[in-house]
Amino acid sequence: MTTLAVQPTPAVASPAQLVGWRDIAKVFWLERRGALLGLGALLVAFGVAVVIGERDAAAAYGRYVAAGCVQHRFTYACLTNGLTNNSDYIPALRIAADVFPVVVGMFLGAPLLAREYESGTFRFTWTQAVGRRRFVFRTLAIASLVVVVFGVVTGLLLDWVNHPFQVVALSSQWQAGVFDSAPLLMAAWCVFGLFLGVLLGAVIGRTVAAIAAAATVIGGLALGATVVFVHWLLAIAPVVKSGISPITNPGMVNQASLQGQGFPGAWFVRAWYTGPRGNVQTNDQVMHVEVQMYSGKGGGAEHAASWLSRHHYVYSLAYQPHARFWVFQLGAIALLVAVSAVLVVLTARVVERRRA
Amino acid sequence: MNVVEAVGLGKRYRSDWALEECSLAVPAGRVVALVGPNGAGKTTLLHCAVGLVGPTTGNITVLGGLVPGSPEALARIAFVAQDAPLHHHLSVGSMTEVASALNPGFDAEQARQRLDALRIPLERKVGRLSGGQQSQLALSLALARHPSLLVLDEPLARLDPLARHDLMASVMASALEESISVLFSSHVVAELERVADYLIVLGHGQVQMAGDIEELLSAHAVLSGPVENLDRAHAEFALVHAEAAGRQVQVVVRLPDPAAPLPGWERAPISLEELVLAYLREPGASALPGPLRVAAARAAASS
Repeated sequence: MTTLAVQPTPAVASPAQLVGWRDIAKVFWLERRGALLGLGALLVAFGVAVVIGERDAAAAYGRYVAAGCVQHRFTYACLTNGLTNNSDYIPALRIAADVFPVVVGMFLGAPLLAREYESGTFRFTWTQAVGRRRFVFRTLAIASLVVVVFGVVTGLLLDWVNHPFQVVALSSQWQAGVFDSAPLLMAAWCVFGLFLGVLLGAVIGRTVAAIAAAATVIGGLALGATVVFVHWLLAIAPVVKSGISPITNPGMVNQASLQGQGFPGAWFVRAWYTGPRGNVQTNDQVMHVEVQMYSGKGGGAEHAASWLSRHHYVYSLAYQPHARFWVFQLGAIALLVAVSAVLVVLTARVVERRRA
Repeated sequence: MNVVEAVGLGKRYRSDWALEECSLAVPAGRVVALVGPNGAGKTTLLHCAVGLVGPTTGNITVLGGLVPGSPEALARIAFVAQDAPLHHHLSVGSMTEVASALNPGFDAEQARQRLDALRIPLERKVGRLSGGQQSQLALSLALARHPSLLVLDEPLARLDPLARHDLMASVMASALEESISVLFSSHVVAELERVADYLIVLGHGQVQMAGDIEELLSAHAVLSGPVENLDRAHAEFALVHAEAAGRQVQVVVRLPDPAAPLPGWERAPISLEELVLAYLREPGASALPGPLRVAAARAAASS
């Protein structure tokens, strides 16, 4: 007897499915190599600037530590140390890096679809076997991969050059400009800049106008993020310590930790005095309290604490502890990724519906 | 099989209808000319056929029922858009690589051989090619996909007479060699008869006339006679267009029976250009396949 075995019908790939990632990557490179080489050159130039800055910072850091400045920073030798002076150069690098998401949005994102619409080449691209949806999604995925690498490398370079300053608490990983240029968050910002630029390009359909719009919108958002968003984000649900010794300069809570007075690696949110009747003291009242508190014998932290206790004042400090750094990093990254996903969906809708 | 079939197709851009109640069936294996004045909706119809835009009303299918823009349809339709938009900053070779990467089964060797025969250097930037060379490049890339249907939007618009001749000769040769159906729009009515065997006249967003060119020509005639015959002409024929000159009138008519005698009229054969112009001058005139013909064509294709 003959047994007939039914062979399963092999799944036939649709023509579009036969266009692989490598094919789209090749097209991406061929069509946008100018922008990609430009980004590469920018990264190399930035890397050179970072290396120059790091060499000086590392040498100054060695002298700083050797001079005992970590324990006693307010000496002539420490205040004139190169590490302190270098703190002007490093923020300049950070500001430059803050512009990178804008650059990505302007020169890689905005022209990505705007040039297709402006030159009419979308009528070529959209009618190839790959199909417009597959082409756009895969192109965006490849572009975002490029941008993630760009952002992570930028962030790592900044981390590297910033490291000595963080060790001696001249800089904090929490502060605006440092917080948002950490490697993964920098990558998320670059992806956000890319996708916002792409959407603007798809809507506007003119390359130069889209670049200008991307510069304005992404630049505004980047500035707003540095000035407002990071401060707002890091003020969410802080830890509050009450009844502690007042920290002379609470803005330096991270620095103060080096001298055993603060909370290591923490981020100061706010501090306040509560009076004998439980009311929060105004600025004028605080000045009055502090003058009285420090005018007594000794004037140190213990004296201040006992003065506050005797006069029924309570000093409170709100801060984000060191352990929460990654919570906030991941929260900010998740927010940017979510917004980026929305931008991709909106872009897809524009591409599907835009008049030919 | 119909390579394009539309029933009640309408496309509106904001408040303007580019196409309205457009029904037609384009049979396979033909070279089809789509003609009409500016703004008639030719480009919109072609864009609907290749899936660049979706219809507002009605529906359109391609290659025997495929949805325009679907992966299956895109794989079998090659489109050369008006002005042959290509990436001007790329070299011809890179442009060929782009087309090859985006189309499985792209015949890169055929494209290179064709470009070589046309003396279009691979290393030259696309933007530095002449208009004719750009059109030929776009056509080469389209033909290298070995499509079942080749759609060309105004392929002759910016070409000199020699380039027009060469381009259409290429199209005709490929259509014959590979049994490709061709649908092209054109303003250049004078050259249609030489290249096309099926005609669609589009006016004001609607199909005015569609059919085999030989059949259309034999079904129409130019009649000359005294102006008093005009009323009779209205009663006896489908009058497409009339022009009076003194006591004489010349009419373009669709004849119910092309072989029947026409007493009182002097009959002359009609050229394709005269036929097209007559319909374009009379937007109300039509010789339509209509939805019934579409249904009949569908039934014939499936039997």
